[in-house]
Amino acid sequence: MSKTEKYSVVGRRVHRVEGYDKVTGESQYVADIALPGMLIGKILRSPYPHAKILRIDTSRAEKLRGVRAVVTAEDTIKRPWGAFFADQFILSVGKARYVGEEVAAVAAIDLDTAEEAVDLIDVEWDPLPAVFDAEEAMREGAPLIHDDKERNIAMTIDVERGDVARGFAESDVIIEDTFQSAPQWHCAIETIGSVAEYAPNGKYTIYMNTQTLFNARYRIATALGVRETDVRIIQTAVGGGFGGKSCDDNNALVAAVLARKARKPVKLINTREEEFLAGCRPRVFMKIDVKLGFKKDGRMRAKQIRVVADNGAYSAKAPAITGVAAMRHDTCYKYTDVKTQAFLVYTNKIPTGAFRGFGNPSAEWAVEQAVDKGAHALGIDPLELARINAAEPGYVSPHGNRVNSCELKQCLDLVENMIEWKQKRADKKPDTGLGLACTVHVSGKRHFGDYDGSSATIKLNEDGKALILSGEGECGQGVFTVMCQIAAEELGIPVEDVEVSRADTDLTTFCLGAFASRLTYISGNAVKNAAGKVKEQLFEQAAEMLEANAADLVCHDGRISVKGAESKSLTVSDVARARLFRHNGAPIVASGSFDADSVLPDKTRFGNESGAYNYGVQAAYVHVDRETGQVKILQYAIASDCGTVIYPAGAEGQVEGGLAQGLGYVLTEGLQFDEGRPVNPNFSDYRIPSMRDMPPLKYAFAESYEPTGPFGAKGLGELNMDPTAAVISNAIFDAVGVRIKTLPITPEKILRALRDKAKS
Amino acid sequence: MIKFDYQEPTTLKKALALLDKHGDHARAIAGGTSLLIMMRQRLLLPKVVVSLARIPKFDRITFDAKKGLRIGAGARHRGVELSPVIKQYYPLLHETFHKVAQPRIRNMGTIGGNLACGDPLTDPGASLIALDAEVVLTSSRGQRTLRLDEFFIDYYQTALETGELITEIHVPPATRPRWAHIKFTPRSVEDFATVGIALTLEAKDGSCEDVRLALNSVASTIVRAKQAEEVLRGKPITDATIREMGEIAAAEVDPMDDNRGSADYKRDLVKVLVRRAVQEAMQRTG
Amino acid sequence: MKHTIRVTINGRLYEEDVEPRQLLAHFIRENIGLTGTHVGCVVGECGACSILLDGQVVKSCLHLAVQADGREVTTIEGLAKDGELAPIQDAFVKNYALQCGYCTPGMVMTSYALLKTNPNPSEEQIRKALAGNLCMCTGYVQIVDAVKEAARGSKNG
Repeated sequence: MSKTEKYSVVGRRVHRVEGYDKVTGESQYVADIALPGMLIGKILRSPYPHAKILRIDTSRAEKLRGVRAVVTAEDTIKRPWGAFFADQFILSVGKARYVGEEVAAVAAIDLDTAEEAVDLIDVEWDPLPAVFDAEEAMREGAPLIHDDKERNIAMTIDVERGDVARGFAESDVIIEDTFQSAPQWHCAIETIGSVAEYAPNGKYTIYMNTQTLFNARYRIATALGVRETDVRIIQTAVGGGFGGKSCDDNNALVAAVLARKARKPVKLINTREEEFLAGCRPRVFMKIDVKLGFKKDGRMRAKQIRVVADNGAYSAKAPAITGVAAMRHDTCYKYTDVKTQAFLVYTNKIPTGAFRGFGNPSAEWAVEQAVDKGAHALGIDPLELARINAAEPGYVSPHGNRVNSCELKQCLDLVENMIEWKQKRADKKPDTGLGLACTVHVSGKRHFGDYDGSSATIKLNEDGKALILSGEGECGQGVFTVMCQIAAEELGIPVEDVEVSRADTDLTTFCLGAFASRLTYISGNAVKNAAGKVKEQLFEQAAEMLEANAADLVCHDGRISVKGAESKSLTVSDVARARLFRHNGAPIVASGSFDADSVLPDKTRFGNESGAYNYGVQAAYVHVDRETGQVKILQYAIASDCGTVIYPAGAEGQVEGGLAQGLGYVLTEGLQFDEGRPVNPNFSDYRIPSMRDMPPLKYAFAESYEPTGPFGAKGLGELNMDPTAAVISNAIFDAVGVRIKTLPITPEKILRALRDKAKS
Repeated sequence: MIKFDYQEPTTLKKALALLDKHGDHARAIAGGTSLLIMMRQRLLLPKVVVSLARIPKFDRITFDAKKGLRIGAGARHRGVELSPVIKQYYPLLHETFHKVAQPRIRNMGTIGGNLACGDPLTDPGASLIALDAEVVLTSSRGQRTLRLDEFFIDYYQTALETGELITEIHVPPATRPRWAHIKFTPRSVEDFATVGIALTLEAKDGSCEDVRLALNSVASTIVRAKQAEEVLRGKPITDATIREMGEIAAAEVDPMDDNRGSADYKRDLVKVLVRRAVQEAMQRTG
Repeated sequence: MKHTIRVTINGRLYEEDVEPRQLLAHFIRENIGLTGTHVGCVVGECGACSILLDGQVVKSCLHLAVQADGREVTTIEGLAKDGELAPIQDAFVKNYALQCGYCTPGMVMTSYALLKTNPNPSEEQIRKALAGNLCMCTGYVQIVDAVKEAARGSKNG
């Protein structure tokens, strides 16, 4: 019996709570907002990758009819800000460090006027030498991008656990290779945007399509030089986040500065081109040297990696991402001796940052290919090799990650069956091949101070409907539905009787937002906690009315009764009303909280970074056309361990959508830079997978239960982006014997590799 | 977008008069799909946009077994794709427009607008060249007819003079019954072609009587590979001659390095895909 | 110089003054206030702006408002009648064919147009018809299922 059969709502196929609004076009996205007197903003961006600003003359722009405000850095307190390193300004101070950087901005009565005004801002530039490659930027004599960062190194990591030298000495097979990942743009169909208002009393209200409200509030307040509560963030419907809308860019800040100067609301929506140039921070791309040592029975004996990560011009979340790339994957297999070094290096390009996977895709691109090479060198089936080394419940990684539930082995079994691994290996057809990779991800991560929690308030209205007040927000992944299910399950009321409020930093309590696949696990626990307290109040009142003990009561489908005497019941509404309309009456409302049992890593980066770990396996069966290099994916299989599946349709959507983004990363997407400027920053040339590009997919969820998760659930959102690139590369190697080590995999690279192989 | 005036003449004569009046400051718009993109990117900045939407019968498609096909320049891609006579008598065109009635420009883009844009990445021009198409160019000064393989001059540049419009596309009766169309899109099926090939062929007793080979996405214009055609014309169709044809075609084109591939790779593809196109054409009996 | 255009949108006639440079997508959203039609890329690639023009699906970001003079426009807001979802909309909700919802109006309009001309499409035909509507969230599987269900006649045939 499936573990979810015992639940009324959890695990059931319920409808998306906001589905009706989305399918009728009624959802309010930030570009849909119209406020009285609202102006339209437009940004002047740097055309240079690295240049001093000698002079900015805004007089002509200010004189244009319809212009209400023009701002530069002089209209700010020039305080740098950033998620981890405060190295970015709202508007350029002294110099610009990448093509697209925000230099000045205009607010005008309409977009055409704003665009014309931007053209009228005169900037006198003094171009500086620029550097575009991370390795080059680290060399002596490279142009210095930030004065306080010698050799453009933003951060280094140097961690060893155990003794890798001895580990390698004791290895029977050693694999060494170098891999290069690529930047990737989120391409959410909705671009970043905001509408900012400034009230005379000094309060900013910003409507934003952000996925992390309270983090946004903190950073915006810091950069503007005000207290957190002087900034109110209200989340609009978000048209896709994927990490790109986690407030590492300047859109909302520029809108706020314009609103204050114009004394009118200002709407600032990125165009698609701006999104590519300076909007979402694209995936941090890295050069990774991997060295793996194996015993001849397949056990991993030692692992060493060296990472050089491209920060772009400003850090955003790249410091944390580099840390993840350096260490996360060590939770996937049973390692004993590992060493990792990493350099995060500034270059004069768009700042890189958070994108679904958060460093794991780059790391797995490298390590999972090295593991595959190991399998071939050892003569062991890659699936068997994974089995031999797979993490298990109770595993503690060399960096201190403590694994509770772990069904990696079950995922291997599931994939083996779905793709018919053994049969296909036994019956190898020409130019076709199988590839596999394993992945691990977190369910939340202790990043932003010593807190990885969430909170929620639930009020139970007199009509029996519950409203969850949560600041986590929804970007389409389905968290609102999950919260409603959890609350409904805990309370015993129909899921149709639960709603989630809009996220609003004034009206909801602190929480961290969507990142690190944390929402189901962490906010789910907070909601469950709050619901439990609401139930206590409900049962306290009901006990009085039923003349029973609260401990003997049950609530099912909105009716409360004594266990075993269900014929005599009260509706939740009856009880809620009675609790209010009485002497000493009060509404039923409670707040709940949850902080994961994780540990803020210490100075040596040791510590259990998350409360729970999710695992997965992916495999592909491909055919390669030897004459053109074209890859066709014949079949794809995905098995995920996300604990209890609370919202099946949502989970399926995460698997399917994650695969599409993963395939985009490895096969269809790619943006060239020319002297720091993205070439063709548009959807005509940067191709994301269409409906016709998706392969036949089989997927399954492991039977799994995470004891610390709400009803046994843990995270899923990023898991299925992490290993895809490596899977495809491993499959291509199996098909035609060449291994592509740089992303994206293009038919040209395959053709060249085949030629080189034929020559040698 | 920049400001411009918009005119909607109700006859061809009035449209041509407007184009004359405003000269280089005017641009014609039919569907508008290419024009609007170029205007937003500031590649074109017309002061006057002349709509051809109200010109009567501008999208008419007629066929005569002796004279061939006449397609009004205002015919939408979707109209060409759905035309029963084109499907029957010009299957290469039908296939091309079936593949390239892209959702992006579905129901909107016109064949005249596509050709007038001179975009070397698009497919219709190559297939039309392979069918010996001609374009009729009309201005207030009169009319002239040009072979389509002489119409494309350079990247986004055609033989259209100021004040001229494409009004019709003529396709003579199809004499080469074997054909192939290859649109190589390894990234996304919805992408522009990395290499596009249109081929028509007449073969008798294993020998090539006549052939036309046109390619898109491999030069600054859509090209007709005349030298490659010469390799096969009048010769037996063998592995060796087909291979040589591919080699010559690869030398005849001048691809660009871009994010679909390097110039060298595209030349390599031309070699392979021309060969495959001939093989595919030989599978078709016409 | 502004042009006066007369456009019927969702059955209602509007007479408005527009500048020639105004895109149809912006006209619908800003002048008429129907914000269900979304803008994602402005180069006609993502399909979020898809609407019906005289019954045929077009990308309204590649259309000038002046080109819609005298014509009929149907937007996402025109599908549901008296609060009741059209069969295709209902199928989208039932099949979880949406996540963030931003591409959804365009997907629904294109699906609606497809089913009007081809009430029983194959999977390949569905994918081909919707290939110009990009979605970053769903991976498309559930969208295809929704269109299939609507074709089967989920509500009332």
